[in-house]
Amino acid sequence: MRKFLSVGIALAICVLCRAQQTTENDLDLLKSPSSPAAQLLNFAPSSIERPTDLSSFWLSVNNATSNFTKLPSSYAVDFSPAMLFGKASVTLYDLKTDKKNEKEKMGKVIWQTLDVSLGFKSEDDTLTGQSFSRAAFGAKFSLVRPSWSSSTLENYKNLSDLQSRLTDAVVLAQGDYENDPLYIKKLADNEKIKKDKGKQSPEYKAAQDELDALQGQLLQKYTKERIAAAATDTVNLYDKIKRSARDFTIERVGFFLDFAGGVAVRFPTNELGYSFADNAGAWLTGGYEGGNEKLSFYGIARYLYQPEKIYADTTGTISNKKISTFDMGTRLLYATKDDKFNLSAEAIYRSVLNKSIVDPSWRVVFAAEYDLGLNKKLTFNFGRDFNGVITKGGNLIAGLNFITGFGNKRGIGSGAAGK
Amino acid sequence: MAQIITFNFDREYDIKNDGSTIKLDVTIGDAKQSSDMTVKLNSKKLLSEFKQSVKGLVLGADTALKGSVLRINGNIADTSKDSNKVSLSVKVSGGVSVFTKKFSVNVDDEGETVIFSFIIRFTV
Repeated sequence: MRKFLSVGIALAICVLCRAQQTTENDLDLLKSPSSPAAQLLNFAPSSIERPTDLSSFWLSVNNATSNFTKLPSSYAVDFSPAMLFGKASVTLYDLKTDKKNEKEKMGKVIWQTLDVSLGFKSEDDTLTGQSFSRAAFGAKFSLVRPSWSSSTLENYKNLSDLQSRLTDAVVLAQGDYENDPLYIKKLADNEKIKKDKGKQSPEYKAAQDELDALQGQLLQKYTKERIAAAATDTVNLYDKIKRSARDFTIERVGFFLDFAGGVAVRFPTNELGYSFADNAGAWLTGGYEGGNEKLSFYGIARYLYQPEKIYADTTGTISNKKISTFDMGTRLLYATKDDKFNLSAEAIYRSVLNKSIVDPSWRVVFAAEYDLGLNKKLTFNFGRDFNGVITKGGNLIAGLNFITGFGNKRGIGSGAAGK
Repeated sequence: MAQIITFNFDREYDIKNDGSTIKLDVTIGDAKQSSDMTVKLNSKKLLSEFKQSVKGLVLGADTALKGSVLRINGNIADTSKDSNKVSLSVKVSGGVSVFTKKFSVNVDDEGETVIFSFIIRFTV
């Protein structure tokens, strides 16, 4: 009987967890898109081109326009101007932020995080059968960026120190190969070819290539020897760097503020002179990234003009023509270091700005979970739903659940705390 | 130890010998790769444990550089999760012509490190 009761409770919890996850997905719906222009034109993420250098960008545009002879029928591209047009590439060091010691300039943050998205699409009007074009422009960037976490800074310092030691080995190897008799002889031979045949002669250019090849061989040989000589344990310096670089990930902790926005324009007659704004959107996301400290919160404010779906209109009956909507949401997550206690809270507000048919509505959900150990968890959920507000003037859902597991001691997964 | 990828050259650079300023640029790529570099002019260290791209480093007036040797050494580790491409370009300007040399490689394994060693000899 006890077992049946436990199964029943476990099933009830599963249902409750699913309901909780659905609630959290509501806030995810407000999230800013990775590519604002592509989203406004309904492009699938896989069809967006993402060039990382100028030549691939050029190739992408060239292919889409058939050597600049026609407009593409369907094309979306995302690129980072800092990567494509920056005078110098952004190295890992340039991304390092340690707010305890340095303050980042907002201009630098915007430039490094700026992503521009462009899109173009030819479509057919289902009523008239006539084709028309849509073009979209979007941008997203960070205004405030969190600092690197202490563990990220420590990992970077380790990697950086190892790389400096490798540079020292390369410097020593350079001294070795410059004193190598083979290298000295090759330099002397090249000098003779230069004097005899001239600096611009093909013979001298070929001799220079031979010198480069010899230099590469000797550099490799002597660097390996220097690395072996400096080894203090079984793992050599080169392999240590490889491991450290491969495992390096950036974790950021602190306040952040991101902006994303885009506008799509329709050309009904496919003429540049006649166009109007089709739809548009702006997203402002801010909050605090907790990292290992495990306290995080974030908030989103979203404005949409003529959205495909009106979030506040659950019936889907309102025409989106000249409709503006404003939605916002916030979420707080907290977990103790031992993960025994988890807490989450989420609130969402949704509204239609220029239509009085739909009243603004909001929901609040709070969830807490405590791990008692020995397969037992105590969970608590509390919320106020959209529907309650609209139809009944607000209702309250509250529950206290006790979960126990069977068999050996194992962790019980639950979405109640909103991981 | 596995084969180490190297970027290297040993070149002469012709100066005008009229007091022109000689400058050096070393650009590290792709974005988010981690680098370390030492730049030495004869026995004088100009940059040490340098982790960024070098932009317009003034080496001095060409008249003072005649017969000098510039040595650039370092390494680039593949830390970018977006790309396995490791690239480097060296540019020396202010002399008879602009010298540019570009290197690029797609490393097979994540975290792989490329070493580089360049020698530039200033001549008239």
